[in-house]
Amino acid sequence: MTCWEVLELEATEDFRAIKRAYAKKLKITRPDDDSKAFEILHNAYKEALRCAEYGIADANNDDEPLEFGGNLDVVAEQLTEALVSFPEGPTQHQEPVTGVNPVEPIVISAQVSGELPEVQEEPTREPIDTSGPLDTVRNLLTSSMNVHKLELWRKLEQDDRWLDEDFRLACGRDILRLILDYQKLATEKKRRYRRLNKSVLAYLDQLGGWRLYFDDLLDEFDYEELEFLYELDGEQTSQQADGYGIKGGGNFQRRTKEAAQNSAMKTYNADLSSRGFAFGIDCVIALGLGVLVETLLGLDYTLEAAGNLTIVAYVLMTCSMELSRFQASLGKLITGCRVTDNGLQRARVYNVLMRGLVTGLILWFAWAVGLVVFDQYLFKAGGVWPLVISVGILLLYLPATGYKTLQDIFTNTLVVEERT
Amino acid sequence: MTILGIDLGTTNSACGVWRDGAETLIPNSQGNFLTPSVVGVDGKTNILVGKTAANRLVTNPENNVAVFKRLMGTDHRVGLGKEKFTATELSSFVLRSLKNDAEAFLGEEISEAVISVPAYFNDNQRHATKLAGELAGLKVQRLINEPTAAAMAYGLHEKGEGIFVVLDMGGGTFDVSVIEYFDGVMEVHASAGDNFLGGEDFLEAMVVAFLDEHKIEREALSKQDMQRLYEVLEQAKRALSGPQPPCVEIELAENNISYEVSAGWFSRIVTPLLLRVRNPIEQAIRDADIQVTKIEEVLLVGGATRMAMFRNTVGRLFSRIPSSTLDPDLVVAMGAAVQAGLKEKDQSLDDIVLTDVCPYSLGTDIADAEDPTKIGFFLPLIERNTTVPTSHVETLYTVQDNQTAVQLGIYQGENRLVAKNVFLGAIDAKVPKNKAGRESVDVRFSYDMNGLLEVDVKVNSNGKTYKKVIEQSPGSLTGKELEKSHKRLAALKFHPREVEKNLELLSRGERLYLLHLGGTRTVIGKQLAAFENVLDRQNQREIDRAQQDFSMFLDQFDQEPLLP
Repeated sequence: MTCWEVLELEATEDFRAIKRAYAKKLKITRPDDDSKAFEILHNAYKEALRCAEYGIADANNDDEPLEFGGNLDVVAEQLTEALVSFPEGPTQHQEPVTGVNPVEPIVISAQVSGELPEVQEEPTREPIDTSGPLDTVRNLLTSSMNVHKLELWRKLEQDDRWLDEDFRLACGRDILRLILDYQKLATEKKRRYRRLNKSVLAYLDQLGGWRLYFDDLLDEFDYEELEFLYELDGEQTSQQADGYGIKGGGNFQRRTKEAAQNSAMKTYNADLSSRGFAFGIDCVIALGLGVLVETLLGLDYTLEAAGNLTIVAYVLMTCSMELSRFQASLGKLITGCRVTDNGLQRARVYNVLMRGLVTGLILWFAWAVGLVVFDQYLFKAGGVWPLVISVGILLLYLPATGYKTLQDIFTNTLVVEERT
Repeated sequence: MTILGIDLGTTNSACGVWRDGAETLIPNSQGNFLTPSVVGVDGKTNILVGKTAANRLVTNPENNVAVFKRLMGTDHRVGLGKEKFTATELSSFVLRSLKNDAEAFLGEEISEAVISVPAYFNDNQRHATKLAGELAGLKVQRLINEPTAAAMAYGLHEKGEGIFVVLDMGGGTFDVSVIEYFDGVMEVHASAGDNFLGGEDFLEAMVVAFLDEHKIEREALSKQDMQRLYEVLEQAKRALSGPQPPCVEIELAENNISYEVSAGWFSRIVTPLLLRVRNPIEQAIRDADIQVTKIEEVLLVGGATRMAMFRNTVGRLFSRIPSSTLDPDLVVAMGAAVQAGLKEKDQSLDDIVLTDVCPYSLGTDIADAEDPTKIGFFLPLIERNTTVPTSHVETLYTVQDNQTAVQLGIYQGENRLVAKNVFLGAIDAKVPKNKAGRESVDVRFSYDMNGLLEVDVKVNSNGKTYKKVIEQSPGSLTGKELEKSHKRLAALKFHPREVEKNLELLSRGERLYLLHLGGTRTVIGKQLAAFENVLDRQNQREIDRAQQDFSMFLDQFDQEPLLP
């Protein structure tokens, strides 16, 4: 269906007719009642208006709507004209209004008309003195300590000349010149300079009306130089503290919603204590399993056999658990850790198996060393000591590598936990 | 079923209904259309709202609170007496008080309402407002944007056609809407605003400058001192529009300060604020894609637009005189009443249709296509100032090999990075394993008239769909919490209406006693004591007469030109 069919209207360039047709249809297609139908109607209306504007009454001609950027400049230009030139008082645009009570405005006109003539000075105007604000800008730009502090830039606005559009345009232009020079220096990576942050730029844009007077600025600056202005959308330039402006009341209790939101937890490398505990728990379980197997098989209770069985049990248990959907051995499960690949996705089978193997080797090595060293002296303390040693080695190793152990590094895996 | 139209303002609130083909504003128990949005507690179980609480805010700031609308949509709590309340709960008291007034005035029970919110309120703040209505026992049928409401009242009264710019500066927020009116259609083209720019900010600027000039540390002043200062400067601010420059007299930090507030001083102080007026105006006009010369009229709404400085600035910007033929304090409530009538499907409004826009862009987060490790970029699906209801679909592709799920955050805002926008929720969809870019999902955002956002994600390879309705903002109350909150609030009662009047007079007397010095203070103190004696005797006839006398007596000291 073309937009004209939706509107039940012959293709036309008459805005009035389009609006009338739309209004008529709208009253039986209320947005509250049927949102789908309304959407179709509204889109048809917009398209019809566009067609009428560009003189293409044929809506089948699927012309792209004109680009926003282009439009913006047109509007900006008109706005500029309206702001700068000040046509003789509020005249011609007011007339079409019907039914406006003419009494009220007179009161205000006394105040406004007082202001208007002074702005309406003719071209032979004195050059605008912008030295005050410019000095402030220069001072800020030369101080690497202060140049990024928005609150210091705010000093600029304590000058009511800014309310005058001529001053705004002139001073904004002068400031822009300084800023662009500074940014150029910063881009060349001079040590003292860091590029200005966006909130400062956005603030200066608002103050100096750079985007508003974009076209005027083009006579002096290149388009590429000014391109950065289009990245400033939505940048915060003023931020009020929580509870700002509240009057009265007792204690104010801060509770940020953001905190609640972010408790959609973030993932971190598991820290020392979590991993230590996890390892400890796993070892105890593995030791239990080892002893159990030893008893079942009726083997002699030798330290070597117990140790080796424990290590085998450990590797089997952790591997199988880490391959499961828990992605964690029992100990890790209890301490809230899990094993992932370097992209925080679930690790592949191969990696997990390798991980188990490497862990097993490390443990076995520690165990063997432990046996040799402590065999004579601490035989009676059982298999505990070698385990303690191996834990010690792993734990000492952790912080030095950004919480990665040997097996993590060899097998491209990570142990992570979720914290707020 | 009558629906109540409510303007829940930062400083003042008002309400009205659609009756017999016209909007009717509802007076409160003191006979005023405006109820100050101030809430206080008195003793253990009594709650005070409005004028009484506003008076007591000066004498007893710990137990009364104002301007809490600024906290809407957060979980911050303000202490009041022994309890702590969120802004939502405090607002619900104001709504309850308005509801009581309406029920007394109309003689019927009210359970539905249309509430106005600043056009630039975000989703969280809108949900908080809705929740406040529910806590007050009102089902909120529609949230209407304040400038839209005002334009509606104007549209009905002036019958003008063409494009209007509505500038709405209330106590706490500044909104700009570009609205076209033709053949009974009110079409909002664009809205923009600043949620921290209103009469209260002008007052705050005055307070800061005043303290600075007299070298007084803010921390050295008690809460009560601060409130007194606010009070006298507020009066001065209002008097500035009058013929004589007002003079402030106040005893602060053991000094009697007398200070003449001149227009020049005021203008220097508020320049930064007036500069901020420009940005939303420029943005709204840019977004509406209209020419400034095509604007029929600039309408002023909200109490703060009475400031001569504001009118001058706007007058220069548009090079025309802005108009405010309807009472700027009440016009939003009038518009809300019209919307209530529309919602009731009143026949007299059959010829009126309103279409509004969503003021913020809504979208999701995506990764950089060139470099998938860079994430957190904002992809707007519904651009700001799109007419609602609306929906939009966008196809997104996986960025990693064997990706098993797509996680989409839902955000509101204009920044390129989602981290700087408002987080509304998230939706997960499972996708089959495949090479990066081979799997795609269709994401559809649908936004309806009530500001309800629905997100559908369709996995294209297997046709599975996932759906999420952002009804409850994160951190807001669940069903159980709501019930708990209900109970807690219900335990707090309003005073009976006949007692309310006495309380109001007493609180007013106490406030004036505090504000005045010397002989005047002694006289007020004496009269206050006399009135208390009459109340103690509990003779209704005597009380009625004393009320009248005392009220007239206080009138001569009270200069409050704005409150009717």
